[in-house]
Amino acid sequence: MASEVEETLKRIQAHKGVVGTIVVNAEGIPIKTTLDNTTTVQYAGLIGQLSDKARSVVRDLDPTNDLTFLRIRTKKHEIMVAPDREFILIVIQNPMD
Amino acid sequence: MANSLVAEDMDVVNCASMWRTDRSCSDMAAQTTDLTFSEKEAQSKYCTSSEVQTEVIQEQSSSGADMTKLAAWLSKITPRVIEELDKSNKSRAFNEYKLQESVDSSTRHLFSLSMPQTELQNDCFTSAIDWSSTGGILAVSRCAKEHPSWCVHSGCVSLHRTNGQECKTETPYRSLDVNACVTALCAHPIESFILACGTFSGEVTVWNLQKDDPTLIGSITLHSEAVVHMQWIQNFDMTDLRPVLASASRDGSVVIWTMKSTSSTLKAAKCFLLQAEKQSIDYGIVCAKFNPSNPGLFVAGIEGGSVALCTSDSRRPCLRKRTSVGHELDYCDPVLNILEGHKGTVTGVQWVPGSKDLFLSCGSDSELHVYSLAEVCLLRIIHLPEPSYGLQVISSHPSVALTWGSSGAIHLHDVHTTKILPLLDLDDGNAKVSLSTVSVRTISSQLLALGTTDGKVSVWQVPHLKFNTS
Repeated sequence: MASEVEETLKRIQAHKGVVGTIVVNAEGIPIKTTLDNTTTVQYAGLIGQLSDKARSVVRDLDPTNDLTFLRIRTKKHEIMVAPDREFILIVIQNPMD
Repeated sequence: MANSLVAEDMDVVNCASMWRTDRSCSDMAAQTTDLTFSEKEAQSKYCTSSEVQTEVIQEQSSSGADMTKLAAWLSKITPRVIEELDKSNKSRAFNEYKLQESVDSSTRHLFSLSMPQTELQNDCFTSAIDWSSTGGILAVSRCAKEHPSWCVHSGCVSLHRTNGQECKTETPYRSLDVNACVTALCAHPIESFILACGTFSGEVTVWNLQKDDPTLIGSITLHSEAVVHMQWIQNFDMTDLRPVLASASRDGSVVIWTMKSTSSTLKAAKCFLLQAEKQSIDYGIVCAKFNPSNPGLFVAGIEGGSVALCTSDSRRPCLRKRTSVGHELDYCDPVLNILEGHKGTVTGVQWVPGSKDLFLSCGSDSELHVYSLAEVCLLRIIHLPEPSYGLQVISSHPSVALTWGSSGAIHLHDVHTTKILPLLDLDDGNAKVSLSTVSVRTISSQLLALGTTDGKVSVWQVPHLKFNTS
């Protein structure tokens, strides 16, 4: 199963413009990453918080609704967040490439 | 006659010297026995190694995550992610979008606030400035330069509305009258309509500014001398999220006040008094600051240059005092340590934002001290270009400390490397006046309100670039 996970992450990582991919568990701990340790910890902590906040906003607006995808456009990158109950997938893409 | 003058040779006569004697040396054996050396084993402990590891540590795979679940979820989510990545690559939505960046890297004077017509027109300085928690109201207080004995002036707090870029009128939209010169101000960190002030006579007053007519929440004179510092701190009762008010006075006392949400009355909850004789320090507190992350700790600058590390969790009673309304209050001794202080007056103390360990003090001896809480000692001394009148820190730039003095300029210092950063150029075309107080807007650290020793206030926009330490 571990190899299957690795394969999937490689597939995403190989996609055009992708700078890094991180998988975070429900406790906010990064469990898979293609980035260095410091960057991974920063992204996992901060994006985790933002994702939780975004999800609670969506649910507060409509309790029957839920957050499925979050895209953050920055000056340098585009950060894509796919949240789930147990995991969060963070993909950092360089849109200029 | 001839016989009497015959030459005669005399024998040499040896004459023994009285001051020089012959020295004779002879070897004598003083060593009674030959030295013998012998070695003996003195090590009585024998060490043996034995294996005590009973379990083989198993390497955990990827922090114990359920790989089956992860693989299933990833396979489900991957097509959508790839689809989104493709969309993002093909998207032209941002092609024509030009990001409006603030390229203005210069310090700008935004507006000045005039002084209300009072009896102290030409004889006062700006004693305190504070921004409301929303940043929309600027509270300014002024104080007479000289008080020969007690304060007989009628003080006031001026409130100005601002949108952060301009202030429509120079004159205050509201003035709050107080019985004496105001020496300290503090806006509530959450409820922007609550404002507290302390006066020269030791009175602590709290207002509610929510309505057109300001409501007085409480006004109590518990300090016997001027209030030098006021701060809203985290409530020591963890079940109550409302911050409590702390005030420190020149009489050496520190009081923590609570406000009952139901009755909105002010009540002294904890009182502390410096034990000057016991600690061999001077009596009065000249400046103080509570640790923002740990309200149980505060640091106080003492008259005479000492810096005291104190605790508000102290349970060492030192005095019982009866208040004017008949209540009895127990005062505790808060001092934990007296640290190496300044050779002049301490003019400011601050905690380094975000650091639970470091705090700073500056003084009229042109020194900025960096102290460590963990080691309870002075870590380093930064020499200032001029005697300092005050000290300020910026939460968005925790490494930077701001000091000011008689030159009217603000000096920036890197507290970690002792590096002096470029001076803040605050030239508005007028003659330079000494600064008495500086307040940084909480919600946007780019705005600085400066109070001068002639009672004026000016607001400046300082780009973040200026606070960069690199």
